[in-house]
Amino acid sequence: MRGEPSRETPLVAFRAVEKTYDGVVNVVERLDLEIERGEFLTLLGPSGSGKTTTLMMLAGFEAPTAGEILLNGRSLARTPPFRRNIGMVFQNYALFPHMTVGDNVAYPLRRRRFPRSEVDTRVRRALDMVRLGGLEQRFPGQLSGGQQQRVALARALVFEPDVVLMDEPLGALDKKLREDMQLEIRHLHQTLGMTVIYVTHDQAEALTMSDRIAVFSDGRIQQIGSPREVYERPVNAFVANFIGENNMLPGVIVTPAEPALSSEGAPQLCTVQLDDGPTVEALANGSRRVGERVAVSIRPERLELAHRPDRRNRIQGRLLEVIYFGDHARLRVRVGAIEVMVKARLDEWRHPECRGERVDLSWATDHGLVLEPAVDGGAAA
Amino acid sequence: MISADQQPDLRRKLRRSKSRARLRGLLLVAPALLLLMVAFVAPIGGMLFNAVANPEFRSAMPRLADYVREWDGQELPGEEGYRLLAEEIGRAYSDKTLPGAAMRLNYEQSGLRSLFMRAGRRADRLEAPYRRSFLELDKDWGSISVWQAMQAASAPFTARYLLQAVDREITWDGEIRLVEPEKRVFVDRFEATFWISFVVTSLCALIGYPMAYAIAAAPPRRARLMLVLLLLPFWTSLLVRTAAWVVLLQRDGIINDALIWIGVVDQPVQLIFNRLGVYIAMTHILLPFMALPLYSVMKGISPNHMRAAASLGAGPISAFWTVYFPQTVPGLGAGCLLVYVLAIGFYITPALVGGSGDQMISYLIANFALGTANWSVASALAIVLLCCVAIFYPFFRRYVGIDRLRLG
Repeated sequence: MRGEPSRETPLVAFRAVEKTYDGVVNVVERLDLEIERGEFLTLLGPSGSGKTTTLMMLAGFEAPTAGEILLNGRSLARTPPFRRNIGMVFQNYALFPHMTVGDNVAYPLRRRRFPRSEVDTRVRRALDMVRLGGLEQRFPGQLSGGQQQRVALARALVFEPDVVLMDEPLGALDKKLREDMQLEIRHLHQTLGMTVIYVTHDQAEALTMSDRIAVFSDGRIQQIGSPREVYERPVNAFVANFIGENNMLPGVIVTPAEPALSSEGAPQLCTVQLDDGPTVEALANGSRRVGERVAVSIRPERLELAHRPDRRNRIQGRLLEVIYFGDHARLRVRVGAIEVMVKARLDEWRHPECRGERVDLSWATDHGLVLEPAVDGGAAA
Repeated sequence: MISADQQPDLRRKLRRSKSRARLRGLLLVAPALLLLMVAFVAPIGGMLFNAVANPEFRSAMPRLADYVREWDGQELPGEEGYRLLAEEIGRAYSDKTLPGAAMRLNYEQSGLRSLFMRAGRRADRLEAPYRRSFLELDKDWGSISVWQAMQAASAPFTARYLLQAVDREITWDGEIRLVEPEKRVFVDRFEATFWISFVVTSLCALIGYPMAYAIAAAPPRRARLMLVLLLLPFWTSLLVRTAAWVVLLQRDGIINDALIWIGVVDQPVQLIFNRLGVYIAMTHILLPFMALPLYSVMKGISPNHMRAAASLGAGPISAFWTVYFPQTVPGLGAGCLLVYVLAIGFYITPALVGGSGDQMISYLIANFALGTANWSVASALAIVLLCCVAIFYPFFRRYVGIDRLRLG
């Protein structure tokens, strides 16, 4: 394997990488991204946002139109995929159907001409690791979806690649199994200390598994940060709406910032006059002008149902519908021209459904974020 | 919960519902089964029977047939035998069954046809002592081989046609030996047939594999166009396609003109009426049968497999041989089997574009069946051919895994 580079060099670096297929639209726009050794980075975004293309360029199946990709500080431009030492797990597993499970896992070792005894021990260890010990002689077609995914995982890990790429590896599994596998991959990552770049369009998956999430849209990274950061402090309406559920209350800036709270880099407290109600306070990332049209973003679970006179942020609406979810209830509430979704604990909402009833909603000031108004408006599903 | 006494009832219900489904299935395949019986099992059965049946002599002269069956074959029969011979020949001549029997006897020993026909024409003038009258008619009647030929022709079944199909004959005392060199025609043709089929199959595989790969890898629009082009030759008849090759490959045809024009050769090359012409024309005609099953399996191989192989450290060549090729083997096997079996049965194409040494066994079968109306030899040749083809099937099944092939 390669010599250990200095600590400061990121393991993988994208430098001004661009990709276009038709010469008209960039699928990936000037991507700059660094991935640290041992990190679990998720590329999250809707289909067509450029996340898979980014992964394919790193794997070597697509060539960047501009820019360069570095692995261990060295450019990959002239390295064909089979010399990159990058493991990959595909969405539909891509197990070789004509080989046994054992041969599938041994494949990367045999290509690297490992001695036979070494191959055997490593294969056994890799299969034990994914809890498939003893299934060496089976063919992939005889395994369940979850087992096949584990074989694919073992095969991608057995040769100790520098990076493991996963392209929506759990997309074909049902919900329960997917959640089990998420934890399993997370634990494998923690025990083996490998570097993982994971592509998904499932935000829950991204939140549970990642050290960092890069949210992609239109070929750009909209935000990159820890799961907590991207969920609780989305930088724009796209991120706020794409990750989790979100309410957007349109309004106009009244006071750009309260001088007492403004310090370098920290969010600033603004006052916003909502279109359909009172003036509220919310946090803004950048500086805002007076009279600028904005939207205040609040997560449905941060809205409280009780009438709280002590809160400065209060709105009123009329109940449209209550949806029972077992562990919580969702309330669709009409506030002026817009509709707001509230996630209520069951002990908060005990009334029988009562359409048209007046509802008081309030939230703590630091749970409202000032973002530019969303073009499509309203809450994302 | 189902109590114990309810169980037999349940089982009966299951059986009834299953038998209904089975009956429906049977009805659905009934037309196909019927067609199979009429168009496949019956002709092959008839062919098997024809190849060993030996009815001509016995149906024309049954009493004589019974007599020679009893005869010990050591020395000429006595007066009794010649008397029976005279009666039977006379009756067979007036029944008009004598020519068939005489023809059959002629297979055993040439010259017997005219010997018998002559005796038949003069049967009314034959009188006691019959043996002398026969010998006066022709001294060949005194030869023991005539009677031995009659004995061979009187058995209900005979192996002579099957042996003849492999250039062997059985002597009167039961020894199987090669026929005289100038009569050894069939083994040679069988060898040519298998060799031509083998070469054509190999050529089809060599050309068809990259072709199928190109179609499977092409974007859908272009793949459709390529498939249409591949199937286009099927819109014209085999004869037309073969004739087209004659036009293209003849001495002053397009190919020769082009070769001379680009200066590869300065004399027209003999491209047709030899083995080369047979290979070219047959490979072209049979290529779709190779390319289509290959395309079908290649279409089923996910492009991710090659990517996965590359990400696991396999170079393009290694990935091809370890991942791609093994998955196409069932298609290749199916293609080879199809092409080989079809090639073995070819006869129009070699007849039109081949020389005299390039004719295939089907040409001889057709010739015997339609030309000389010798169904026995034609059937025997067909059976030998069928057996030769049949022995390939288990081989393909075992090593190529043809039952793993999914079409479509």
